[in-house]
Amino acid sequence: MKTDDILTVDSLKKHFIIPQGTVKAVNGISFSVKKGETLGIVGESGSGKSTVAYVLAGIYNATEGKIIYKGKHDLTKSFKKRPIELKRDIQIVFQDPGSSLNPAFTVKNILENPLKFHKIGKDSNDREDKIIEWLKTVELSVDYIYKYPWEMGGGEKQMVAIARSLLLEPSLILLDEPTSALDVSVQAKVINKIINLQKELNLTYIFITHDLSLMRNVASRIIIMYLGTILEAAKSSDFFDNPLHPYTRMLISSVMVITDEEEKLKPKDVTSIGEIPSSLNIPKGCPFYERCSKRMEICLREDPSFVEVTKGHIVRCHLFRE
Amino acid sequence: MLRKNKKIDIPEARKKTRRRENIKRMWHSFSRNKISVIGLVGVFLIVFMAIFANYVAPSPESAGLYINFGEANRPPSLTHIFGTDEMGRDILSRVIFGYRASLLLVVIVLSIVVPIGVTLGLLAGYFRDTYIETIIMRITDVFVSIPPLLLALVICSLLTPNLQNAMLAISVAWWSWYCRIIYNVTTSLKGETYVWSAEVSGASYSHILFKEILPNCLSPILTKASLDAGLIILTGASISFVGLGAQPPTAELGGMVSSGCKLLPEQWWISMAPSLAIVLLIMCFNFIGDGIVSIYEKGRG
Amino acid sequence: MSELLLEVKDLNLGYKVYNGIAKVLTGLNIKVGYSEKIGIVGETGCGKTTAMRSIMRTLANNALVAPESKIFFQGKDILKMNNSEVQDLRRENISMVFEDPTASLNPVFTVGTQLSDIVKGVKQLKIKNQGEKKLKKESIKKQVVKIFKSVYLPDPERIYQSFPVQLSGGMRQRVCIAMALISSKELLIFDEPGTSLDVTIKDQIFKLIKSIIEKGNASIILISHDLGDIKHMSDRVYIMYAGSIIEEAETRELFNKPLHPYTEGLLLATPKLTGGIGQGIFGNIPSYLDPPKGCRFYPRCKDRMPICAEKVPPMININNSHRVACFLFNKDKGGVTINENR
Repeated sequence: MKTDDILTVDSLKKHFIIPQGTVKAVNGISFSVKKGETLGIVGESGSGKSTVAYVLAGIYNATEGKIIYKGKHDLTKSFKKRPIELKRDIQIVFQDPGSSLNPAFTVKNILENPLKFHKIGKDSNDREDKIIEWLKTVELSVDYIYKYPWEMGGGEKQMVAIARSLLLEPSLILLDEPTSALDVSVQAKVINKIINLQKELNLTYIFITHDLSLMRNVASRIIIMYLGTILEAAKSSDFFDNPLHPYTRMLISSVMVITDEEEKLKPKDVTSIGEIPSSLNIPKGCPFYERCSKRMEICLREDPSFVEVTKGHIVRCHLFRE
Repeated sequence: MLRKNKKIDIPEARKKTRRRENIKRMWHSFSRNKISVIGLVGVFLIVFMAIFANYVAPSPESAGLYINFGEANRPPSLTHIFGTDEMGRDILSRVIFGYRASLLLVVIVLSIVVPIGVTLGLLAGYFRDTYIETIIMRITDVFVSIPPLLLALVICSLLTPNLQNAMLAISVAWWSWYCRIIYNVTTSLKGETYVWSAEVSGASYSHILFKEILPNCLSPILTKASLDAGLIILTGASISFVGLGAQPPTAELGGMVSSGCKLLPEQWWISMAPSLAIVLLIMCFNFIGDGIVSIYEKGRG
Repeated sequence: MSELLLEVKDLNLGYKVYNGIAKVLTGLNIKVGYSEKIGIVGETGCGKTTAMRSIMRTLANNALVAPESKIFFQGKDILKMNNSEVQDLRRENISMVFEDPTASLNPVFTVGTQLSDIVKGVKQLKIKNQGEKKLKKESIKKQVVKIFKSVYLPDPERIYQSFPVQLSGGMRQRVCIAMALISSKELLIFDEPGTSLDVTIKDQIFKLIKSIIEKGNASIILISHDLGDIKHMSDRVYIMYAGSIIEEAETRELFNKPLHPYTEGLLLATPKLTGGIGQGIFGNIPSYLDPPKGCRFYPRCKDRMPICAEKVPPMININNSHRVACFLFNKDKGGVTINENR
């Protein structure tokens, strides 16, 4: 583990036991995140990307595997068992701003509560000062204090959620599709704010989305997940200029773009077919076998292992076997 | 009111306009049903009468031990609007005082039942799949499966018959329904992302249960409470009817119906008046209940 | 006037709420020809769903439609139709597919039952008109299976017996499209059909929609806030903002040469696969209860002029098909005003 890694995940698994069987939401993934970078996790529904975030945040405990944070803390336990400094240090912003803010609370309550839990601020005036400062940081005026969530638009709600995650001054923020529910013009504002804050406050982000165009502009490194496993990982520019895995190529080719330059970037040799199978019955061998246009006999029998094709660019596919 | 040690003016006054706006909005939804407004007015009038019974009732002494055989069994007339009973007591006055007992019953029973039932429901729902849930919900299941009137009657029969014990008995029979409802709501709200946010931020259990989840349960609680008011009154009246609640000469609507039954059909007004009074009160509460449902119903537009 | 399949003319609509009237739609004008694919771009709260509801006549009780508003379908005014004519319209001519397929399907009935009910309902009309014999259960099932095949649902017999919860999101959306197809072959309205779908599935669904239209000569209205979807699927685009159309053009033209500052802002704000994301457009949509006197985009516009705050900009003809409602393109700047009154 390198010294500038803030987080190292090793063979993480999260399984859910339901009456119909075991849902293997996360089925053995390993990655690391450097301090100050933005790691992007891309995947479609059922890929397990949100589950990874929830395990890191402590909402779920890990079924198996190791998660080392800042070299010393073990994140596989749920947050109730974590030390209090750790609870402050890792925060999460959820996808749907409508349900991540309690409809019975005003913005003031929503932002004051975390401060109260961690005993930040000497008294209620002091806390109010801090709240106003953070609202200014996310460009919301002071009279948002007494607004209820239903009085605000999606973008504003999401800004409140971001302010909430920031006011505990964490080191790592998990962003689970923070702008998927927002309109394009609002999304741009929120994303730009998120990017600027990272530089100002020296934050590390794990950014999860299914929107590849957005990922291009946000992440420095990207991993792509399918059915609970990582299929490819690369620097952002490598990922788009030279996508290797057939799933990555299928995903990029499906994006609906608006300019001709983007159209040229899309792989032409693949088209989207099929659907992601259920995580209840993960097939043997390569999880992508059923939908892969380049599949071979070995793909059905053996799960491929990782191959480093160029520096920093790894892929899990028999096509790149050494 | 602005704080002086601030560089920025916080619109504290805005807080007060918030509350006014909220109330205005709730009133607008509530008053969409004319019936609910009628119910609300009705309940206000009845409450007013009950509180000021000593001044409103034409003959306050009729509410207690009072004998005037000279006036006994008079049919409804201008001096006694509901007539008199076999002791010569003015029935209208007894009805007004009877309302006092009924309203007191509702208030006390709900004040006991709602906090206990809701708290247990929150605990059981949040700590799902633990022994807390098992213990609470199994006990609740037992109580829920016994018809409340029956259970209340059984308890009353084991205790000295009076109004306080009737209240106790009804409370014991009633709490489990609130527990059940809040349990259901809590299990679904538990998975809401704002609850997860609170957990991740480090909230304590009591904060999550009472500050995050409870305010979002108000709708079913209020709706049920307003509809329960009528049922509790009916249950109380039924208990008195069989002689297990408030004892004579206390003016209690159920007891009045019961004692008037023997004199049917000639002195029909003796049991008719308190029966109508019961019906009126229950109807008013039910009308209010409809209005409360429409406050919380998801609006359009 | 039957050259157009659908014509929305001067649609003015408000909602009565507890503290006034929300004047949502102001003078909406939309034309849909035969075999045409129209895209409507608008962000949350711009009134696009309200406009579609007006077409389908499923408006809420507190909606107030101005008397001069007209919506012509093949020459007949939808707003003046009585209930039974509207029912027939929904059965035979116009259908809508909504954003969330899960919410559009009743969870307690099998998908087959739901579609059979629609087939029976649609056929009722034919029976009424032509006196056909009552349909047998078997033949209804055969029709439903046939429609499932036409939307490329794998194993249609099994899907017929499945409940919505047993199907994936993509399959549910296909079922909803099948539902729309049974009862209409002329105009299909899609309200954000790809929002709740994965990218690869959305791609497949859109290809499906395209093939259906090509086969059957239907017209579609596609509503989306995603410009990529619109670019792929539509021949002509309308951009809506705060209840009115602010720009309309053929798709290629609009994306190559956006005129209205809002359209420009949207295109810049869309993240690019090649890198680059704009600043977004600061501000929010105006309150409908107390909208700005002049152009509703005035508070947020970077190119605004004093006249924009005073008067509502008329629709200005730039060339044959490209029109924009903005004073920047006034007569003296080379545009031609065609419609002064709004």
